[in-house]
Amino acid sequence: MGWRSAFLSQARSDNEVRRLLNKAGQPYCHELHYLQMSAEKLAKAFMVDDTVSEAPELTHSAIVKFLRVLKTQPQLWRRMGYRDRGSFVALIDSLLPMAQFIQDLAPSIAGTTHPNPEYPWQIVHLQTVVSPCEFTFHEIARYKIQMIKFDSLIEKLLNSEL
Amino acid sequence: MPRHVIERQAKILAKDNREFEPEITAVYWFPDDDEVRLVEVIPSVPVSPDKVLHPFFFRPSPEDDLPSRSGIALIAPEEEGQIILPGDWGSWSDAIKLEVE
Repeated sequence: MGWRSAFLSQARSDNEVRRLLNKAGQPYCHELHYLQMSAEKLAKAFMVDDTVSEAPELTHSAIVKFLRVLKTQPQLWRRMGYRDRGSFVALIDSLLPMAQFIQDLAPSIAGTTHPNPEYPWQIVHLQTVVSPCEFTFHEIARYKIQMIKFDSLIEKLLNSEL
Repeated sequence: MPRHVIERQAKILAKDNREFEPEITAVYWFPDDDEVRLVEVIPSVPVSPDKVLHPFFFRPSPEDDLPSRSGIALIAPEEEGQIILPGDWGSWSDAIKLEVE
């Protein structure tokens, strides 16, 4: 197995764990943790190919750029089953704010003062500390239409031969 | 693969990308015999934290008139001519700016 296949395989597995956590009724932060990891590994899979011997970069900011780069490939919309190119591009554009939010969930980006699904953070002006398992993550709640669309796009990408 | 085939695909992608991403201000092609290598400049893209170019690679799609693998990277205007290229991409002096209007 090469780097791309290995990253895709792990990304699919992360996504499966996310679904199991959902079924098990665990706090939403754990689902988000696995979604962020799955999307990040998916993006990194496209930073290498199976023929390349070097590992992809250890960046946590690949998700948004990856989605934007998807627009540059004129064949993807058809392969992924979208109706036309314009709809696919519009979908990607509409999902960029959501993707940015999910990308920024990585603790190395969120730091100790912004929401993330792994570590407690401080709301400085309220002088209080929040635990992820007790936070609602309202902006990216699973019932929001943009979240459903993002989820669907990730699922399609994970299962496409691109 | 003949260089002219790669060049043709690079030009097709450059024009296509500008059409669907009007924010693109410039497209640079880094000539290679095996794959299309493009760097596209977009003002709203954040700069790379490590100052290194990280392209995304896509497989050939001959049925879509894309016979070669392509490596595409998006950069901010301030990274133009500055960002460190992957080792086998050559240098910025090798880049050819493609017409996208």
